[in-house]
Amino acid sequence: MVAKELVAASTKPLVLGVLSNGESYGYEIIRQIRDRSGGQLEWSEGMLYPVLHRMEKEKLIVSSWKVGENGRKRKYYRISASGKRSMAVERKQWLAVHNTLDSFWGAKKCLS
Amino acid sequence: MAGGSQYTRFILGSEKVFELEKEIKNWKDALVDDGAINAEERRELESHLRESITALHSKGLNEQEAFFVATNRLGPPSDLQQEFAKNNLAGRWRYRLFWMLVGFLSLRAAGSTVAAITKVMGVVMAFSGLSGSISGIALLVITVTFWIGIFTIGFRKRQRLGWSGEGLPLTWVVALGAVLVIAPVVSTCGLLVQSRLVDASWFGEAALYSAYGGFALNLLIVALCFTILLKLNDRDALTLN
Repeated sequence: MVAKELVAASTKPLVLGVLSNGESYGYEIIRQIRDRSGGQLEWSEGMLYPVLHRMEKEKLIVSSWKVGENGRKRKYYRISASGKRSMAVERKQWLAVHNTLDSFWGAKKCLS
Repeated sequence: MAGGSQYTRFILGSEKVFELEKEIKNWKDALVDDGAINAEERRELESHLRESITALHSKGLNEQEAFFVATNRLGPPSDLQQEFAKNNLAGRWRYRLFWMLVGFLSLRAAGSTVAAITKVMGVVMAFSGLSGSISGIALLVITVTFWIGIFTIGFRKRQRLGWSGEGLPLTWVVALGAVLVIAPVVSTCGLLVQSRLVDASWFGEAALYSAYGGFALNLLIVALCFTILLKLNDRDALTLN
């Protein structure tokens, strides 16, 4: 399991990542992230919503109520143009962190 | 945690029939506090909860188990409120201001009702020829009785609505108590001084004029409060259902 702080920090890029594949709603976003991470990324489900609403305020995503295939009303979110730009920036930054870590930790593999 | 006792009740009180709709409603009601989570956000959380219950139900859990797991996954209402409150600071204050005004107006309404009843009874007593001191005591008893009556009704209503009244800081309670004690003492002292220093006809006339003025001022304050109240009530962040 990934630490709480790290999960919280990565929520925004993760949501942008999910929504870049098409619109989705809260429950489905959580399910996708859980599946993709193999259950490593998990948080209190309700905590996603304040993040979604903050991102909507920042105009990174847009929401609308729609009736889902099961006849139930759901609030769908989709990524905006500025959301896509923000995702590119996030990507750069996360890759910078990842590559730096990898340069230290990945080297071990070569030595052994 | 607020939900703790509820969950224990599910487990221990096996004779109680589990009603999913009722439990969802209770859970939703628990989220209504201090305006941290607005109506739309609650609907979204409810939609998530139902989605989650359906998925768990189809995996073989019964309704009760599915509800239990789904609410746990969403997180305790108090945590949710805290997270949402970070976004809805303005809504939260609107909500508080709203209830302050509601409280102020209801207290004012109660006060003026009691005052009116006392005045009418005073006139009746004056015509019935009772002595001043007995009338005074009788009016005092009437005032006290009506105030107790109003608070009893208010308290019963509060219990029925299930409002816990949490969140009022102790300092506020102390300040309010102080004002409620000091204000009548000051006004009574003022009245005593006036009645000793001034002759009766002047006193009567002055009282009459100040009564007119006070009446107009009261109307003005009430009108102002109602205007603000209506404005606040328009916002969707404010839900009283």
